[in-house]
Amino acid sequence: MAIRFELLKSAVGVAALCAAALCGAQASAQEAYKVGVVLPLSGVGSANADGANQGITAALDVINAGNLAGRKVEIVVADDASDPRTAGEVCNRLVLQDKVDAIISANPTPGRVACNQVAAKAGIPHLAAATSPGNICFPNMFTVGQVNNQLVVPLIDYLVKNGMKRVLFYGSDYAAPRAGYEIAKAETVKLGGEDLGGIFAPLGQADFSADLGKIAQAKPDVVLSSVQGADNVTFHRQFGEDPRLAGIKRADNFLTTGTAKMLGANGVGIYLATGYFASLDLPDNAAFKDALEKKFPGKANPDIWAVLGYNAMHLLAQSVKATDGSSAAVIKALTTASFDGPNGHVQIKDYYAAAPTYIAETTADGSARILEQSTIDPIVAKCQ
Amino acid sequence: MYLFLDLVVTISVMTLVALGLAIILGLMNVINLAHAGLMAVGVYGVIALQREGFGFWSAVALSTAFSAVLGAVMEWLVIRRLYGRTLDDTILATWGLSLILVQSVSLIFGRSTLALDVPVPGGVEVLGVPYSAYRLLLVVFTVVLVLAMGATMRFTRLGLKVRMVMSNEPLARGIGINTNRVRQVTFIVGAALSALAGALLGPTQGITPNYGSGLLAPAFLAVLMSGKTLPGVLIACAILGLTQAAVTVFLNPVIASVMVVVVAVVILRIKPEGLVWQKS
Repeated sequence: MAIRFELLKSAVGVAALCAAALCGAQASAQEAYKVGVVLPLSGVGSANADGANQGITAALDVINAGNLAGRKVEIVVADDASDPRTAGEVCNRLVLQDKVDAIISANPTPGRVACNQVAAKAGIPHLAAATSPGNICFPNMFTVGQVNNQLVVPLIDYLVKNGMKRVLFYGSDYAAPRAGYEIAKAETVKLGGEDLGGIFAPLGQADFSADLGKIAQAKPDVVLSSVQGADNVTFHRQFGEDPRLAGIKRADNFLTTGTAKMLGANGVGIYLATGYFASLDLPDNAAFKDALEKKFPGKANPDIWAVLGYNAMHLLAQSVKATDGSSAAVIKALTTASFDGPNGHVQIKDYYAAAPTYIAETTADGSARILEQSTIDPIVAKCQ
Repeated sequence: MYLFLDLVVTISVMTLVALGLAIILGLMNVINLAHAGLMAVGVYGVIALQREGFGFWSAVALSTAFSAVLGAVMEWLVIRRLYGRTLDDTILATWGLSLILVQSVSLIFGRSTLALDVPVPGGVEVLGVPYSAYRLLLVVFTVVLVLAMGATMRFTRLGLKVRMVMSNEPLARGIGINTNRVRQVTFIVGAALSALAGALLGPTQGITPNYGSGLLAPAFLAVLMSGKTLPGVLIACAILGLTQAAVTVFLNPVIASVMVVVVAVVILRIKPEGLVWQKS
């Protein structure tokens, strides 16, 4: 009798242990997938942070409502102040304290690289919801925005073929604009145009008087501008108000239609090359704008930064759903991931995105008239 | 002619930004790092008032008045406790005030870049050369403000008291001048000038809560070079503005931004007391 009671107690104990293990496994499977989101909420990059935040948080709602990741997704937002050192610190905190499973960043390149040093060491996937010069490659980092050749080449093609042959480049003094200038110079000369040189201004420059005088003296047909963040508004405002520059066309691959509208008359007639316009007539674009309006009624800002954030979240979610959610599996899935986003079909190739580029001209009603569309593969550094 | 006009505008913008800093440092020996925050308050005040239907010029006047009141509160709560303290203390305290102002603006207005319409659009001809009308108007404003400040210091009782306190505060106090009141008024005027600079420059800038930080560094250098006098501020802004404009035209803007700092350091090394100094 005593032996049978002991056997019964052991059986109950084993059963309890098995139940606990099963429950634990089920709890692990249902644990939320945590994503660290690094945004430049202050500093020179802050002009783009609102759009990125809107896209990411709107996507979060859509993903969780439709169980698109196979589990709940949570985000932890951190501000890198557009500073690489701060980016490293916040990413350290996200990885070590908040124990995120992945990172999405929408900050300038130096901060992104600093953050990826932390993400790579932890072996977690890192999606960059931003454009890039394309001169870096890390096996855990996927850039969802376009690289220079995808924006600059179609834009230069359009400008030179439409008679704007004397091209002067003006940009902020950091990696992406400088790399963009090299591509613009080569393409301009290849098409029989004239490269009038590149002028680069430090980030945070507030007075462009002397620079504009230099541009006036050069007498270009068009100025191709790649000025970062709030400086871009300052540059276009001062350019538009300067009568010395009347008749000189402007092209820009950083300007959004929202910013052009804010500039009023100074923002009309600028040629844009970008991966997205709010007026695109695509069903996924309508759904995207609805999601944004639902999340931010009356304050929705459907710009390229919102689209990149939205696409990054969806690419990550579908990779999590298609795998067991482990970092290695998600990274492997991301290398060939694709998504039909508000801007068209996005395909990850060589850790960057092949996506449509639209050439447009800003109009007086604050929108953009689309002139051409193309999709070209990114020319980027190869991962070792 | 273009270079001359660019030079005049560059110097004027620098002077407009430096005035508020100079008056506070000159009298109170306080390095006011809340200057950029006050410039942001000035320009966002204009944005808020324009959204309520006010015209640009009345919005500038009201925003400046609001910033003067804000300056009075800041002086009463924080600044007057810094008199006689080390420079480190004043820098830390005013930097903290700047952070509060900038984050308050962020919370109310968000972080997106905003823009103000130019109140005087288009160009005018100056000696046969077309130039932006509003930027030339900024030059006029700067000249008027400098002359007004100079006249106040030279020909008014307030100016006399300020000069006495700057020369010898204990003696000024001994003959019955309320030195705390003089300092308070000075800080209020300095805060108002900072906000006014922010508001007037708004139509030429992309506006974010960190507005003013790009303009602050050269203005700060000019004030350090000035010997705490108004003529010194003008000379310093002229030297740094000339450096900025000329190096930009003949080399490039990146080297120009470096040369501005190099020139300031060299001058301070040669004349640490500043370009124009008060004789005791």
